Amino acid sequence: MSSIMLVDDSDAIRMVLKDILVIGKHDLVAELSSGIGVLEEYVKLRPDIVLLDMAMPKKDGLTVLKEIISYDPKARIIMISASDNQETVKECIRAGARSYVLKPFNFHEVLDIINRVSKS
Amino acid sequence: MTVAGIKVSIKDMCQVVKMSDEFLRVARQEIKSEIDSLKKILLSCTNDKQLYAESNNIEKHMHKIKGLAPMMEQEKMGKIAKISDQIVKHVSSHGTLTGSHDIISEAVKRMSGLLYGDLDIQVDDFEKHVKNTYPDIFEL
Repeated sequence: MSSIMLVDDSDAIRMVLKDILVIGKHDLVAELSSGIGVLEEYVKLRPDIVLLDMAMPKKDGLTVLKEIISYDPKARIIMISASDNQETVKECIRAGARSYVLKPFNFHEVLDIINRVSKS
Repeated sequence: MTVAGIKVSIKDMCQVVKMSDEFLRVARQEIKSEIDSLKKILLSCTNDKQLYAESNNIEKHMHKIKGLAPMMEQEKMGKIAKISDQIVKHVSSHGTLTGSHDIISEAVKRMSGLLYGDLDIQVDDFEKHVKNTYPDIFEL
């Protein structure tokens, strides 16, 4: 079981991801609907994994990813995005993301990635 | 049962099934909001040049629909959003594209129809038309 922080501006996507975490018996420690305040929550809670949406208003996922990695280079962050642009994926991985989940996703895919990243 | 190597109880699965109706309600509301925003943008955007000026804004809404629609079993809408997203991305990075306003307007009209349950709306002819109009964009 891993402690997970979930960041996505879509209520529906957060809802689905929370279901997936229930199935995977992971522990949701924080849920945020924007990139604002994510670093502060990360510092406070130190979750095992952050599920982080790329496209969010006000502060995008890539900016948040860089902030967290600059604070904790060992942070395990999984990016979530509808963009299959290879440059975007590479940029996230270069910035320190452990994996990249493409929307639309399914239960198996997300759980496999969480399990793999939590063991890394 | 086992999901991704994890034993899952019937209770867990029931919880998920119970949530799915709520998910569909919330997802539908979010997609409606994205389509409404696109309609609003298109009201003040009447040609290809203006569409270029609004392309970043349009892209954000298309991107959201592209990711969410297939998860609520709106595959046709997801496909239209994916094609449109690709066009708008091209416009955003390359500038005004002839015919793009008409195509994005048609895309929004079809997505709206699909949201309200119009079963006659097709995607294949739209996809074919777009790919024939912009073969260079879809070669990539």
